[in-house]
Amino acid sequence: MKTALIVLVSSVAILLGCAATSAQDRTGATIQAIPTAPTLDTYLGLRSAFHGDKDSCREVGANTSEASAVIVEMIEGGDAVALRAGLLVFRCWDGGLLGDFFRATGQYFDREPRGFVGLLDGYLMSRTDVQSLVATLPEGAVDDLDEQIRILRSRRASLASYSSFSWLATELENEALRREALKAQAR
Amino acid sequence: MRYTDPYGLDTTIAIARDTYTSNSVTGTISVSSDRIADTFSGYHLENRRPPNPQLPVPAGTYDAFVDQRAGRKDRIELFNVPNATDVQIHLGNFPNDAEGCFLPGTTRAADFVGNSARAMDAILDIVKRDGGKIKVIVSGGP
Repeated sequence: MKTALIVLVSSVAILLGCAATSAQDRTGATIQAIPTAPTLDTYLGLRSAFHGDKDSCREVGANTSEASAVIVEMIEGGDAVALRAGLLVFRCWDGGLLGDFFRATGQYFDREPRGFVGLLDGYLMSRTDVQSLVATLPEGAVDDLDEQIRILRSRRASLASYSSFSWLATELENEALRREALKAQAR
Repeated sequence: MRYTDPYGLDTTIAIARDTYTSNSVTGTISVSSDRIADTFSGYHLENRRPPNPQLPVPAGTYDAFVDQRAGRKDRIELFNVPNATDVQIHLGNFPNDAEGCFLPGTTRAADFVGNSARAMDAILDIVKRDGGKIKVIVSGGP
């Protein structure tokens, strides 16, 4: 009887232990897996685990700044898997982290405009989202209106062959013109 | 508004909103320390419509810390902003440089603050030389 009880307790403990760790063991089920293995499989694991709501943000670890900041740094460095992961979970982010993500996606667009536009097709985005992703300028251009105008016009030129983004090209030009007006005021 | 700390341990960053447009909120930002004599007075700008509908930050007093990461200028991050995370004082000139954060400057125009790096340097200099706690007092409705 005593032996049977020990076996039963051990079995329940093992089952409970398996249930508790199964979510973490799923390959790519958290954004922490992306820096370790930035592959399409890891991204697909994250995509299948993420459902877009606040609970899901917590489950995939996108509610913590540290893991998310690593993803943003990878995007800045041109990592396409990190960009996919960011496009998937960025609505989990807020404040300075969200701003860093938009600055990073703008820099990714500067390097790889065609690849960036191609990736956007796979995600549901509002015009406001797309504008933030492309028009947000790097921190290094702060206080330098000439540099900001140069980047905005370069991004506008990169969109020239995409008729579906003509509205965004117009927005980028409007931003450049606002900066020119500020420069003229300051003279 | 002037905040005094009897223990001489705090840097106080007072942000007072006074100008509202459809895109931005601007106002003054002043920084003082009970430990060092230097102060800073300038302007701030916020995005009026960030993605998080709970922002801009509600008026109130928030503890804060210096957020340091390699490869970028240090920032001041506020603790315990209701229903928001990563709310910071960081570099920027225009509303779309901020997603619920505060952009400091030494000049301002409509939907714009200028010399943001100079302002951020001055704020960080006071905060770091004080070395104590940081309080951010936000006044004026969002």
